Amino acid sequence: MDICQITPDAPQCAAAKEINFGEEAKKQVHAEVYAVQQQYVIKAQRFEIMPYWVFADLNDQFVSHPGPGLALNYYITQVLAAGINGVWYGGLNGDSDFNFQNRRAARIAVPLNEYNFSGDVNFTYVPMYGKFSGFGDFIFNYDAYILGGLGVIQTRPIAVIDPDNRKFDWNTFVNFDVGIGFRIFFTRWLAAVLEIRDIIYFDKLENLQVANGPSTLPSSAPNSPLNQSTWYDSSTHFTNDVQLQVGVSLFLPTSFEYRLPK
Amino acid sequence: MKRRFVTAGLASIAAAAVLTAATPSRAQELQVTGPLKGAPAVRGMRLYREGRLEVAPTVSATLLNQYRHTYMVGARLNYNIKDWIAVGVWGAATFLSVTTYLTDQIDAVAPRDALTAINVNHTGTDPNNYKAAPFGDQTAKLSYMLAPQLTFIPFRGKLAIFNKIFVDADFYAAAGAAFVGIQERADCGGSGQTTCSDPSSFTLQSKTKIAPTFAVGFTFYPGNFWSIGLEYRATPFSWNRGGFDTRGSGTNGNFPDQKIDSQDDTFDFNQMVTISVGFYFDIANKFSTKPRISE
Repeated sequence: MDICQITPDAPQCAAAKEINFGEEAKKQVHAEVYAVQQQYVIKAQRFEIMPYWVFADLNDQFVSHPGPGLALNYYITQVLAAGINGVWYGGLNGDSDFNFQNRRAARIAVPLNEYNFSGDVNFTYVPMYGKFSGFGDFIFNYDAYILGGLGVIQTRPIAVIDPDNRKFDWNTFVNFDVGIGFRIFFTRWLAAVLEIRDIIYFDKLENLQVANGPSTLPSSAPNSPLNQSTWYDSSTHFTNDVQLQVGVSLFLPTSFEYRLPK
Repeated sequence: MKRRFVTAGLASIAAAAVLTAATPSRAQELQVTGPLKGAPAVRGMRLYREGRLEVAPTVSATLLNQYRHTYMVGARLNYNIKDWIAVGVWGAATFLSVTTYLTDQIDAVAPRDALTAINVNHTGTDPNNYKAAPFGDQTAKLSYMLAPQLTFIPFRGKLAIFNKIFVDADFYAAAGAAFVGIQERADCGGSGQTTCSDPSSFTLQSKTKIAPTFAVGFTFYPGNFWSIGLEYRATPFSWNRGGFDTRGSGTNGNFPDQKIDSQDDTFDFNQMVTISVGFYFDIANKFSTKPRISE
């Protein structure tokens, strides 16, 4: 039974008689409900601390470069952050067994390089965000970001062509880095992060040729295998190191205020 | 009297405005009680999968390749029993297999002599006068993959791009068994087999590997009828990708044994990425292209 049949004198029933629903339906609606009404996390003016682990190189089957990393970002706006990050690889580089098998079978050595650390200054842009329903039961929020920056990376060759005479020091190079990341929020201040980052730089590789003099020559002699100027390939090599990183993201302060009410 | 009333009214409005401005809403976890407690997270949701047949052409590229880059075309055929589970098959065949820089370097630089006779392709029978033959010809190739699989879709949601474009999306994980067709250097050096230094021993032989396969991916739904997918897949199994004799004798079998056999296979995750375009048909509803709607 309609409520207005019980209480026909109710104000809303009197008002309803004066409304032409057909006409009302044709009116333009200025919807105030948006597809994503209120972002789950406000990042503007917050700091992000992101410890992470580089656990795979996606394009280096010769030497793995795992290591712990830390990123610090400040979100200038909701979608733009400036920050720094660094990774320590020293002592953790992994010379693949594949290299040894290749050398033994084909009598050919591939120049290998290991990393010590890298650090970059980055800008992060967050163009995408959204939410997922998990098992139709709970909802979690995520966003995706791209980043780019400039920094330094320290590398050195692993001596494989003439390991008896060559002991390489670390070399520092300027690098560019670009990346894309995916962040799943557990709370408004804690998230899991998956990121792919490409570190782009020009590397120095071990010289495939060994100086033809005896090692008893003074190391300053041009044909001494101990002469460090003969250890490196004469040209630098354009290098992309594509890393897969996993970490957590902590936003500070942990609470925030929305500018507008929900 | 009237003036005093207006003043009081304006003061009330001003006070309300100040109070409103001074107490913005605060973020807090929503503890749902009352009739909404226990209700589903989403109502009236478009069910892009439930009851629908998915036909998705795919293009795949292998990752972390040692000797060959492989590109495959194929298709995924899924029947989505529910919005969260599907049963189907993915199959693909190689349309392009190109050698890596390492393969090219081995081909160009590796000596062809008695020390490499078993491992590097050559012509001739005189160890002092071997001629180079293409090293790429002995490196193993992926020919096809066929993977019946179950797909679980635990997460379903939406994505806003630049606050302008909104697309529905889901995340899935698939697992199954893969039948992998490969071409690999044939066994040699065993009793009744060709010696491995014989140039004819470097030819490839077709084999089928059966291995588990795992995939995770995102599906984006720009329309009711079609989707765009991005998938990562690993199919771990061992194979002899370089065609080398690396194991079989000595301590723990870690030294070459002058034979090419299964002991020379090395483990690899055989990773690849796939992009797909999916098309959906509700087979219980005259192959309608409209998705069902949840309660």
